[in-house]
Amino acid sequence: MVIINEERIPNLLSYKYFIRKQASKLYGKHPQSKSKHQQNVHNLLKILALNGPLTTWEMAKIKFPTNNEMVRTKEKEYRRLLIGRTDRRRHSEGILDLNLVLIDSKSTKRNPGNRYRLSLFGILFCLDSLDLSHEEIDRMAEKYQILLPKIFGRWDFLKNIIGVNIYNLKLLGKGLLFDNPNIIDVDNAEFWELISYFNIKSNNLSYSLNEKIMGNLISYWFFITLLYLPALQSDKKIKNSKKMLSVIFHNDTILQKWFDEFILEAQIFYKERSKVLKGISMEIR
Amino acid sequence: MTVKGLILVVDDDESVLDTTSTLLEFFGYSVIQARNGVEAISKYREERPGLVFLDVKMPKMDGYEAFFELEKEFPNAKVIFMTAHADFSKWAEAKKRHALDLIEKPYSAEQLKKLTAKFYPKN
Repeated sequence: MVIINEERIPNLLSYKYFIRKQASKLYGKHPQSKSKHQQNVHNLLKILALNGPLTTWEMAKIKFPTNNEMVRTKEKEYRRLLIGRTDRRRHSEGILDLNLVLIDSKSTKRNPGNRYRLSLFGILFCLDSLDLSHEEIDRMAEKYQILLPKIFGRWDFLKNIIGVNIYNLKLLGKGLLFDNPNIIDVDNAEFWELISYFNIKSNNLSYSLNEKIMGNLISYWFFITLLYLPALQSDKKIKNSKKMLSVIFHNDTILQKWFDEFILEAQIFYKERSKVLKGISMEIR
Repeated sequence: MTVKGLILVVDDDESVLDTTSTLLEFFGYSVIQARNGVEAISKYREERPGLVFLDVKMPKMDGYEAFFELEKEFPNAKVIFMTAHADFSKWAEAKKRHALDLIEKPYSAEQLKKLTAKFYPKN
């Protein structure tokens, strides 16, 4: 079972501009990943994506269920990939250093060891780089529902209402935060106001981010972009998007309350900004 | 031979390059990237994409120059220009040589989708 980590983590801009770029540089993009090392990293991430928290022994056992000799070799290899290696005082970074995987808990089985799992950034990176099928993403959602209760925890419910839009999270995996109005002109005002506030809120929280808060932020992104992305997918424009949200919230009052609070926060924020503008206008008159 | 569903995006601004590529991938295309005109020509020769989004103002070789070079070697290359500075200086000449369109930044995702569907439909 996944245990939520309360330590401080980097923000989404860090994921977009550093973690994702660095991980793509080091591990490549499936299926272009050519080196053995890159393929091994992709295999390891995929095992964690599809199975949830595991020890390195359990990971190796999935790869070689009946050959204990091979399990021993693979187990060492996975451990090295995760924690890196130090050779002649030089440390080569492992996957843990990049915040894609973290230690979930200690295994209490016969051979105690760390149990590893994907971090939220690891989940985003897997969505971006592993070329997972829809079925595989469904499985990952099931394994990591505690990390994203508002999306993964309601996966089938949401999928029934929004169809393929459930996989829009791939775009966040690619770093699409809609954080720069100079790049993409969005004439959908409701979407634009909410995503702008989302980016402001996300940056303001930079110094207090942990997995729980980050899970919430990712969920805000997911529901806000439902106001925009379905229009691109189906050509049926905004009414359809709002209808989707309306059906979701009508059937899930907890989600509705949570999203309403976000909209209220945005309203208060813009009201305060508006006061600032009125003030400056009075002062310079 | 042209690779099916492959688009080349050329821009020296990383944010534009990334966002445009991400959206095109979201629309179901494969994307390759270049950061100036020289790299664009080299990538085109290697991969023969079916459509090119080419920024006008870039270092080393600007978009117009790159297009004129490319067009000599590949007269059927499909190119759409992008500009943030309303640089239409050589657009008339480029249009004469069958450049497809010129869009101004910021463009909307829908504009991007319509243009790709019009000039490079997936099916």
